[in-house]
Formats: sequence, structure tokens, C-alpha cells
Amino acid sequence: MKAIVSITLLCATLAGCSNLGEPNPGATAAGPVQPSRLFLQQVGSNSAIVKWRGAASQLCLAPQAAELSQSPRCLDARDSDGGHREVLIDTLVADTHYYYAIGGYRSDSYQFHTAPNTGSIPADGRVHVWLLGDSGTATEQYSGKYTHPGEAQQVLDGFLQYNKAEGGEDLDLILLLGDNAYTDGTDAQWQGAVFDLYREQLSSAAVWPTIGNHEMGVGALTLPTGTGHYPGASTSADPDAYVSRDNMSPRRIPYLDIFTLPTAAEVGGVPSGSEQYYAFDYGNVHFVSLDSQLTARDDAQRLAMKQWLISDLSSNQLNWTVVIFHHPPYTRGSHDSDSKPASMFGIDQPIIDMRVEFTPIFEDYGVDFVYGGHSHSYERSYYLNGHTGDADSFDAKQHAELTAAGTPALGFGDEVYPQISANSQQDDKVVYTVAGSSGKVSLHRSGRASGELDHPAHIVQALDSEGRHGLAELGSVVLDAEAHQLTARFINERGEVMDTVVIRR
Amino acid sequence: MKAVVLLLALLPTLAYSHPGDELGLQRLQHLIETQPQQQMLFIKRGALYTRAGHFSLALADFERAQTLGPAPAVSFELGVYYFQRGQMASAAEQFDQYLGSYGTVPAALEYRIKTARQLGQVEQARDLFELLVDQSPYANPSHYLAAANTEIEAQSPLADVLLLIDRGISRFGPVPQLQLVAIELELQRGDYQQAISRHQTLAAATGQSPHWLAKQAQLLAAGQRREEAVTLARRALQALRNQTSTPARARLDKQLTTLLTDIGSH
Repeated sequence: MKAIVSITLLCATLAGCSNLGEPNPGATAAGPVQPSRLFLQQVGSNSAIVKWRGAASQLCLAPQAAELSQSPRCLDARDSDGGHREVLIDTLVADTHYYYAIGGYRSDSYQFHTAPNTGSIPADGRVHVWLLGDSGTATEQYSGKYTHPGEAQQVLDGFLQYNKAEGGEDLDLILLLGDNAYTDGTDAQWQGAVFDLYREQLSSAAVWPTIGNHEMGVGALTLPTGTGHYPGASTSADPDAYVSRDNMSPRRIPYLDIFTLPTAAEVGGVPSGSEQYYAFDYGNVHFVSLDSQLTARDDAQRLAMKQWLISDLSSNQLNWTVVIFHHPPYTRGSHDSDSKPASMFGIDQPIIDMRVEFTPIFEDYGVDFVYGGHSHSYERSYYLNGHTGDADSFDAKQHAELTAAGTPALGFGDEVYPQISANSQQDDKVVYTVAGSSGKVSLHRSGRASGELDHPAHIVQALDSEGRHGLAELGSVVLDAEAHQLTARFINERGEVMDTVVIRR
Repeated sequence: MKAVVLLLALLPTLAYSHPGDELGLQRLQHLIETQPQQQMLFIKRGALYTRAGHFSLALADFERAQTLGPAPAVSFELGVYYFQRGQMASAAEQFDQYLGSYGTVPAALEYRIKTARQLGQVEQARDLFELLVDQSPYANPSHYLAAANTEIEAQSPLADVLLLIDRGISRFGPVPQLQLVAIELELQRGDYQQAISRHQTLAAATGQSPHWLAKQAQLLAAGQRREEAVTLARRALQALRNQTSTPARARLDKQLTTLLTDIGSH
């Protein structure tokens, strides 16, 4: 989506826009009030959901900013879980820009672009996506102290710097890879770590999340030092078993009250019947969000999710397929995907189950990129097939796409990955990326002084000062899907491109 | 909700594995040596022993756990232990104790429903299921599969099982997790027409993909509707060969070729 010339409004609010739907319950004597949180959900080619928290009960919409004060289309909100209000806007036109106001309140960022028709390329030639993993440190406190102050902001700044330098293209989608609201995923932490920090981005691009371990609050854990409740340690599969440090009464995970996610293929894909895992289409890209935190922890639910995934992927005919879930199948950062460390305490069991049970499906059904977080670093794999074991069982000649010289292809320069593998003549390989450093970098791993970033399935990062298979840098991922090329870049907090991987078709 | 495994096992693509138990056991044994008064450690180890079928070791751990903290904390895993051993009355007693202490925890309710079924308490099982589903707006298709599974385990008529699945379909729409199981059950009772009709409900959601066309062709062939099967199988093959080749599509191509050969049209 090309940059949109920012409209300059004479007033930040549409004070005096009395025709923006009367009466205006969101307004006070001082004028319209900004919603405390506002975000877009399920933006498709002909519909979108705008969701907010605040007194306003109406949304007004127009295809031109100026029309907002003249002849807007106004819709009443419905109350939804968690004290939110939301409006489902239908009969929108594909690949078209819209401006909106909430209860008369207007901001320059209150605008969005609908998706192109399914299977089509956007008018500007590509789908522009931002991925954030483990970004939730704006609210991370232990013993009353912020542990990573300002680091998520730095990542945002780095992205904005990069994006501006590249032409200022508007985001189409934001994908959250889990652990986006430390430490317990409380509603207040979502506010501070997500809705306050990314206020502008969330009001103009749809956000699509997945559940991380920290979204599920705290869990009981027994360590050699004793037993206690620790953030991110829940091993429950039950979304109603959420507890947090400030409230140990079991209740529903706030994540499900905050987001309105598709259950009935509202934006494409096959209906899942659950907000915990879902799929959607955006232009020529099919996206799947799996639940490695709750659903994956119960054998039967995991099997049901797998069956749904097979149905969904076998029905997908779009150019590109991207899958997100929190627990990465391959990592040696602050978590270790090998079966011995990952099975310790049960917290990381989903790492093993997702690798053993789900990676073969991704490879069978033509998935291109898989993204996770959990480890607080950046690691990106070769173009892989068939590696379901521990790190020491990785054999590049067997599991990776090879160059003509017999070395594992790196995914950029002269070694971009062909969607149809040159080795197998099938679309049977996947790039797996850990992008968990959008709020902090840590390599500490239980039982070891630090993670080694030495998983052999990940490429050696040329820009890493220690030549490791990963980057211990703050950053986020930008994904661009064009007709014949899918490109992902890791952008650090200074706006520098630290890694690029390309698949061509 | 492990019972659903049984139902889902009807589907040919699924397998079950859960590595890591052995390593978890080693870890727990080490922790118990250093913290022998921690009730939770014994509960967890007992649960792992139950999963592994080491019942005497499991019971010893649960009995030890009962001396180290509140008895209801042990009830869920002890209930699972009794359930696995087929001692349904004892299992029900434990699940009731757990539910009485901790409220309507879905996992405990699911086991309680299963024990009620095993004890022939059909109406109670159904009431509990209503409670489970009504309790959570976030009930998902797996809950209906679990309930359907308890009906199968209790050797209920397939019509009753299908009724339960259809309640889920009514709630969630024709999601594949439910409808594909229902189709297998329809085939089991020889109702090919109903299987075909059910699969037709997935047509829109799947965009009549080659995989959908192929499955529908297989069902039509099984229902002796040969000409329609041939037509769909050919459509599937044609669509398939216009798509990027994946391992799944390559397999499907072979299956379709075999199907057409089997019904004499290739």
C-alpha cells in the first residue's frame, strides 16, 4: 500500500462536526474524547471491524477525509467483552481507503485501507506486514522496577525509521507473535504495552495476534529454590484458568476478551469455530494463526487444531502462505527447542509438539514462512524440510535447500529460495523464523549462562559480531508479499536491515 | 479431553505423540529428592506415572500427596488414575470432590461426564455436558467431540453421537473438525447419502478445492454414484494440475488416478 498523503486537519478533533451522528455520546462539554484504546480487526476486502474502549458509541466513516464532516456513513457500536465497543462495517469497496471518526473524535491516523479482492495483488503491488514478537516489555516489571524501559519504543522507532526511508508505505497488517503484554497479559498490561505504544499503527492497520505463554498469566512452577507462581509458566489448556500475580482467582484470559477474531472464515480460510486459532486471506497471502499455548497443550484439542489446519491449508490456493504461533520449532536463544530442555517443567512442551506434529503439515501443504517468538533474539532458518528432531539431528544435505555447489542456500542474493524447490521440484520447504526481540534481548537459559544462538538449522548471520546462527539484537520483521516474490527483513532498533530472506515463485 | 483422540482417530491423517514424559519424570524425581514436602511434585509425578501405566507407583504418590496438603488438590489426578484403571465410582467421587472445591473446571467436568457415561448415568452425563458448554462462551469444537466420544464409549447409537456433533455444528457452523468426524460416522452406519450431504456443507468454506472435490468424489463412488464421482474426480485432477505442486497435492493426484482406475474411467 503506497504512502497516503497525510491529511492536515484544522483541528485534531472534529469539534463542531455536529453532523457526525447525533447525539454524540462520546463527546463531553470539552468536545469529543479520544478512545482509551482503538484498534482494527478483520479488515477484509469488503468489511472491517473497528474496536475501541471509551464512551463513544458511534463510528462515522467516509472515503474522503473532508466528507467526514459533510456526509459520513455512521454506525452504532455494539458492546463487546471486556468493556469494549465495536462496529462491523460491511459493504466496503476492496482496495479502497476510508477515513473514520469515533464519537466525533478524529485523528490523522484514523484511516484504513481495505484488502484487495482475495487472490489479487493490491493496487500498489504488495502486501506490507509488520511482525512483532515478545514486544510487551513496556509494562514488564519485576520487584517494582521496569526491566526493559524504552526498548519496545526503540524497536518501533527503528521500524518507523526504516519504513520512512523506504518511502513511508502504510502498513496493511500487524501480526503479534505472542508475549506482547508482559508480564501477565492483564488488560492493563495490554493497554500499556500495545494500545498506548502502537496507538497510531493500530488505528490504521488490522492487528492479528497469537497467544504466547505470557498472555496466560502465571503458572505454578517448582524450582530447586522452591515452588511459586511465575509469569509465563502456565501449562493449562483452559482459557478460563487464567490467573495473574495481582489476582489469583481463575478467570478468562484477557486476550480473548480484547480481540475479535474470526471463527467462521469471516475473512477467508476455513472456519475454525474457535478464536484461539484461525485463518484469513489478505490479497494474495493466506495467513494462519495457531494456538501453541492453550490448544496445543491438550492432546485432543491439538489433534482437532491439526485436523482443521489440514482442511484449511488444503483449501488454500493463494500465492503465499504465512503461519504464526508463539513457540518456535527451532531455537537456541533464551529457550532451547531440543527435547530435553524443552520438556523441562512442561512450559516449553509445545515447542516439541509443534515441531514434531505440525512442521510436516506445513511442508506438505506449501507453507512459505512460519514465525514465532518466545526466544528473545532473532533466528532464521534455511529453507527446510523434514527436520523434526533435535538440533544434533540436523543435516543440511538432507533437510535444507542446497545450492548447485551443495551448500545450504542462504535465501538472499544469488541464493534466494524458489518456492518450488530446485532440489525436490515441489513446494515442500519452509523458512522458520524466531522474531522474539521486539521488546528485549535475552539469551539467558535455565541451566546455562546464556543461549548460544547455535541451532544449525538457522543460517549463520553475517552481521552478527560473533558469527552466530542468530542475532542478539532488538528488532522486528517486515514482510512484503508481491506477485512473484515474498521478502522478509529483520529491522533492528536503528532501522537497519540485518537479515533478508526471499522466496520467489 | 483425551477421549476425543478416539473420535479423531477415525480420520486417517492423524497421529498421536507426546514426547518428553520420561525427561519430565527424571526432573521431578530430582526435585522430590530436594523438596520432599512439596505436594505438587508428588501430584505431578503421580500423573506421569498414570500416563505411563505405572499404577502402583502413581497411587503411592497420590497417597503421599494427600498427606502433604489439601486433599482436593490431589482429586483431579487421582480421579484420572481411577478412570484409567476402570474404577469409575471412585473416579466420580474424586472428580466430584475436585469440582466441589475448584468450581466447574472444564477438564474435570469432561472426565466427570465420561465417568457418568461409564456408570450408565446417561442423563447426568448429558446434564453435565450442558453445564460444561454453557459455562464457557469459549467452548470450542473439541468439547463437542469429547461429548460425542463419551457417547461412543458408552456404545450409544450412532444417531445419538451424530446428534451431539450436530449440536456443535449448529453452534460453530460446519467446521471440518466436526463435520469430517460426522462423515466417518455416517459411513460407519452405511449412510452414504448423508455423508455426501454433510461433505457438501464444506464446499463453500473450502472453495471446492481439489482436496474437497476428491473427497466428494470418493464419497460418491462409495455411494455407487459413479458418474458423478468420475466428473468430480476429473475436475479435481484438472484443478490440481494447474496448481503449484506440493507433497499433499502429489499424493492426491495419485489417489485420484487410482480412484478413476478403480471405477473404470481412466
